[in-house]
Amino acid sequence: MIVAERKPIEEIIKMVEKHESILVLGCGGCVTVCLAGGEKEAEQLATTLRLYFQKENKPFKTITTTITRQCDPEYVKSVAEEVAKVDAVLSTACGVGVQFMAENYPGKWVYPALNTKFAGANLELGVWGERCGLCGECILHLTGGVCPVIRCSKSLLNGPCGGSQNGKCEVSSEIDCAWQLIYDRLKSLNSLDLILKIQPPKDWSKARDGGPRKVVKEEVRL
Amino acid sequence: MTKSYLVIGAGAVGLQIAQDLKENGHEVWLVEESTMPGGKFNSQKPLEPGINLAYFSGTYHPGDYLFTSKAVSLMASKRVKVLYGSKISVIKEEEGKFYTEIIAPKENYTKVFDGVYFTPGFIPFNPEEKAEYLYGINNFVLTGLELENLLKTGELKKNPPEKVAFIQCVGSRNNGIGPGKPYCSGFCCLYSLKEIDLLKKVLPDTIVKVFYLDLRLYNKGAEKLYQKAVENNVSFIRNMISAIKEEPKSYKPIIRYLNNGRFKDELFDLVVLAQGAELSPNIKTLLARLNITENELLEFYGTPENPHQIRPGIYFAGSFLNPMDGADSMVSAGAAAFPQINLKESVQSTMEIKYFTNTGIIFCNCRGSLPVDELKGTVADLPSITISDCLNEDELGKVRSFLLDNQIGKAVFAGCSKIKIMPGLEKLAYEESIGARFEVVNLKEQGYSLYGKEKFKAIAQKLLAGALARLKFSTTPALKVKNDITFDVVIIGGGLAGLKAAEALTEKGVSVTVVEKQDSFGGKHKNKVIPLEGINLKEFIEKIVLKLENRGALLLKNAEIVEVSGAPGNYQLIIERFGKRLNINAAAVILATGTQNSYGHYRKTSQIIFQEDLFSSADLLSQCDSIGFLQCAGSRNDLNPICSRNCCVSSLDAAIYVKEKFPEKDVFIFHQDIMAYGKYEYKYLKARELGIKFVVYNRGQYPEIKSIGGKIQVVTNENYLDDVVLDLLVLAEGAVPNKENEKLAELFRVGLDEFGFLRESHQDISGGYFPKWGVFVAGEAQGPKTVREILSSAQNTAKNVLTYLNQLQNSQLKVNYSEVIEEKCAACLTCVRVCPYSVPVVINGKNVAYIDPISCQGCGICASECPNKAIVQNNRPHQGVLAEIRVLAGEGK
Amino acid sequence: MAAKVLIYQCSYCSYLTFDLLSQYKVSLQDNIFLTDLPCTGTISVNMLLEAVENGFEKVLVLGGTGNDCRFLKGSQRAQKRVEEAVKILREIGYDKASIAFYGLKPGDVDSLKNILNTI
Ligand SMILES: Cc1cc2nc3c(=O)[nH]c(=O)nc-3n(C[C@H](O)[C@H](O)[C@H](O)COP(=O)(O)OP(=O)(O)OC[C@H]3O[C@@H](n4cnc5c(N)ncnc54)[C@H](O)[C@@H]3O)c2cc1C
Ligand code: SF4
Ligand code: SF4
Ligand code: SF4
Ligand code: SF4
Ligand code: SF4
Repeated sequence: MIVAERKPIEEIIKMVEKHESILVLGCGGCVTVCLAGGEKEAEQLATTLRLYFQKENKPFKTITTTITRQCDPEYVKSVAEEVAKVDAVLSTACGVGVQFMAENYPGKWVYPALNTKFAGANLELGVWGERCGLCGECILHLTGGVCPVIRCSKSLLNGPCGGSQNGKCEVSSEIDCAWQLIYDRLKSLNSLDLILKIQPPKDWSKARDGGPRKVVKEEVRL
Repeated sequence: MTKSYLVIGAGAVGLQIAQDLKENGHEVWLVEESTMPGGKFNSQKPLEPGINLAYFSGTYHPGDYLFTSKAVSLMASKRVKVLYGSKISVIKEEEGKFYTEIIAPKENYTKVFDGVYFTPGFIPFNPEEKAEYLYGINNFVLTGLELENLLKTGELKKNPPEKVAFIQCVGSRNNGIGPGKPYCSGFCCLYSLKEIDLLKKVLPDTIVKVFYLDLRLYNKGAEKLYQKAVENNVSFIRNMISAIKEEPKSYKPIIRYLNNGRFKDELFDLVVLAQGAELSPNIKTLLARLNITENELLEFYGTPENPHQIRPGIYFAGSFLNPMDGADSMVSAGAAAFPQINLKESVQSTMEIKYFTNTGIIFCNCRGSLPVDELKGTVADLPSITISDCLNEDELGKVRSFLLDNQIGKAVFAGCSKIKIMPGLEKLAYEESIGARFEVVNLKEQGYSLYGKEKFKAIAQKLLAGALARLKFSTTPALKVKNDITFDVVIIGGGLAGLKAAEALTEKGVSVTVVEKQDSFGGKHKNKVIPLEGINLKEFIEKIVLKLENRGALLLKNAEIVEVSGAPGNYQLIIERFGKRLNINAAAVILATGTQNSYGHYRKTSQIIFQEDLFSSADLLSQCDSIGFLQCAGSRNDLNPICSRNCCVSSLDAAIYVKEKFPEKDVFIFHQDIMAYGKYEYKYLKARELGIKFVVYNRGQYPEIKSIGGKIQVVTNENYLDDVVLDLLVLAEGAVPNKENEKLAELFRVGLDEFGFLRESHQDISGGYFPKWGVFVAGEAQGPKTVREILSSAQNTAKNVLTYLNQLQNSQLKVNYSEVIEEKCAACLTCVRVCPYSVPVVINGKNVAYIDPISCQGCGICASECPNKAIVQNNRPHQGVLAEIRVLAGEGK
Repeated sequence: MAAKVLIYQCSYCSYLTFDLLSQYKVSLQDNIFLTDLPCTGTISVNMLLEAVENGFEKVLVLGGTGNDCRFLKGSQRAQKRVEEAVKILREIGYDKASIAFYGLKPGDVDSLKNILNTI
């Protein structure tokens, strides 16, 4: 899932201060699940902004609503009426949702309320960890299920580097060395031979180095 | 079979018993001498002052309504007749029936009962009888209750005393000489400390000295008050005060006491007498008619196994049985009611729930004390009625017809505190299937009394409007249907409490599983052969186990509970035994894990042993000429701060046993305060009579123990005694919370108190209830207890379980719970993770969360955390809360 | 006009303490409003902010102490949410109002009196 977190409030204030009415639009997808932009957060953000402008004695109105997903045209279109009523939209979706809203509502400012962080997993209540770099050509079968692209600070495909110490990465003692994890996994899978194989350079054109990507699933298209 | 019972005395205990008997279908007549219910806990009684700040479970509570008003409404029923200002003039027992004549204000009755409950409490000893204390003659000598009144009215602050003395045991522990009673009144040490606490809050600089014989602070909350008193520089002086003199000019009282071997005269501004408990004379006459003599009355009644039944049909409970505090009294009430409580025949209630949609207001003018009339019609144009008293049968009837006639499904009650009134209102839902939701606006305790007359109307209007706004968004209660309940009860812990509870439940036909971790039953008492409180516990326990086997109970030794799931009424437990896992379903679970022994900083040798060693082998005694008991060896120290409550009684029993068998032996008891509280005092008196020597050591200053030439030497700090030389020294191990408690608390989602005992619900003071449904506690797992108290507690818990099983069979309404709006749920698992009771589940494949309304406790934690606001707490939906905020913030009404 | 104060009680603990208050000769001014929740765990950040938005200059949430909560974790949750709301007010520089959480044992009138004295 996409993991995001709310931007600092001052930053959001700066974006919206030139407007007098905004739609705070929540998303019921990933950002609900990562507790960053569902209905609850959207309402809370709206109240926070109203309070701020109340303090500043500036007129400011909010409408708050939440749609199932901001990355599907049908849902996005369903808020046309609300969008028409306001000067701008503040989206609590990930970057995808913000852009998709903007695409669908030309002539309206759509602002991001969140910083979209990464594709990751919920480690425990309130904690998320990055797990996938969206590289376009997965190699997890070669590394025992631990991604070196995103979990190795240097994205080494033939690790570890000399900075691996006591299982930790030299970049920070908070970061587990991905290659240590790969070693441990492969060992428990009795497949240490895999680690000795030299990986050829990765084809980064399949990642976002090749420009924006698109996925097409022909059989569902008419 | 339903029977009819007479309950004499409508104090906290009488009310609770009447309620329990009524709920089981019995007819109950409750006869009360005074004009109001509540006994000592009623602070509104015209003649005698009552306790309105009751100290229990470590804090102060509004005693009057926690203990009584609530019960009044729960009791209200056609099956209960309550007669105030009434007296029993005749009572006769014939062939198991009781013929009575009752004189009541309006009418006299003659009536035959199947049984009689005596719950008349006690009357405070009149200190005038002890003329040497000048009470009633000197204005500076008061009773504790009088002091409390002065504190409450603020009188004392106007004329603050600099020095106050408390004299303990006034009218108690008289050793058979002079006025008063030989027993210890049990609660006055606690009570005086409570007064001191209240006094110090108002006048922190007052010098306070307490003159006492033993400080009998045996319950876990009391120790805290003591520590606080010590911090507040209160001096405790162990001295018997024989008289109070007057300073000739100021008439101020002078107390003469022994100070370092010399008499000292000290002048005080106030002297407070801790009055003890007396039996009321009219009760003595009634008992005489039933051939129960006063002498019998002074000692314990009943048998230790069945402390409340005097003989078939006659039961004693509460502080009348033995002076005790409120919480213990309630346990005693439940245990006394137990014999009359039976499992109902399983009948699925067919009553249809009546759901209505109108909204209405129920005002109560609280016996004319609340000006609710000025509110009528000023807030909303809604149907309303005004009642004028607590929800007794009449008032409840008015509310019932108001709801039915006006088709009201949502109502605001505007009167007193919700703690008082809610149980009565919810009764309509539970017992009469009226599916209404109630909101309480507390116009009394939190209205009129706090804001005063002038501001009342405006504030009341706001609060009322706020509640109505909120109520718009609440839903009507949901139907709770139970069809798949089992009637199995699982008891965790096969010690004395667990076994006794099992015995009690199997007697009523409930099937029981006992899960014991060790490889034998009986816990810490299993090997005790020297009688403790008159019971050979080894035999007693063996007998119960045999009985349980005969009744087909499943007794699992070496077994441990590892997992709990399911909902109240239908818990699934996984029990591990020899590596195998066993699934057991249970409607209810009793936690009876007892306590563990604490040996303080002592080590055992061949001559220095612990009570558990002594009690399990009587032979040890014959081999020595002199034997000593060291009290508090494992208690009231850094490892275990509180009194273990049963070790003094145990040492007294053992010492008496030795001395009666071998009068020539020397027996010593070294103690701080000998905790022979209540009627245990008779053991202490008997021990003294037999020549057992009591040696006092100061709190925390344990005597030095030396081993010299095959003997044990105890170096005491009593200057009139040479060091004592013994063959055997028995140390009193203490009782500390079982380490298992943490695991159990986690498994069953119940709380622990600050010491590590299982924490009961502080509002359901009937003892043994947890806030969580279907989980109960019995015995020492809740706090240290003597054998008698353990047995009472087990019986009380068995009663609670039976009542609960009976409730499960009725279809009931669930009022307070959270619900998932499936369309909005993102299956994010947040609710699953935040619920303290693990209620929500996201069923794989269904992709939405589900909250079982019966298991849900209604805390609303999940509703506020759900990122998509897909959960609604039905009683306080967020929209309702916001609507209320707007009303309260707004100008006007 | 005196600042408006909104006090959220927990039905199971602070409610009881408020019931005792008048016995201690405490009285309240009419700018203070009391209301209750089944558990302070019902409170949400947004409720707190909305109370401020609607004109309450002080919002107090009175729950239980650490191990005393009737619902085990309710008052801890409430405390966290109050902290979050306080943080938000700080971030937007809103200093006209304050929000606070207090944990007290049921029946602890003295602590309650102290809290009320700070209003
Ligand atoms: C000064 C004092 C302070 C205390 N403080 C505390 C405290 O802080 N916390 C605590 O937990 N406990 C405290 N206690 C103990 C508490 O009062 C008792 O535990 C409790 O009241 C016992 O309840 P009960 O129903 O057995 O008796 P009671 O409350 O005494 O009720 C007995 C009822 O029976 C009625 N009655 C008596 N004789 C007859 C008759 N012949 N016919 C009809 N009716 C009759 C009486 O009028 C009364 O209403 C205190 C006690 C005293 C005396
Ligand atoms: S290899 Fe690529 S696709 Fe696979 S987990 Fe890593 S970044 Fe994601
Ligand atoms: S509790 Fe017992 S020891 Fe304490 S004052 Fe009362 S009678 Fe005396
Ligand atoms: S020996 Fe036990 S009962 Fe006696 S005072 Fe000490 S701890 Fe309490
Ligand atoms: S917290 Fe809300 S969205 Fe998440 S699973 Fe529970 S009900 Fe669904
Ligand atoms: S209301 Fe409380 S008990 Fe009920 S499901 Fe939600 S968190 Fe659990």
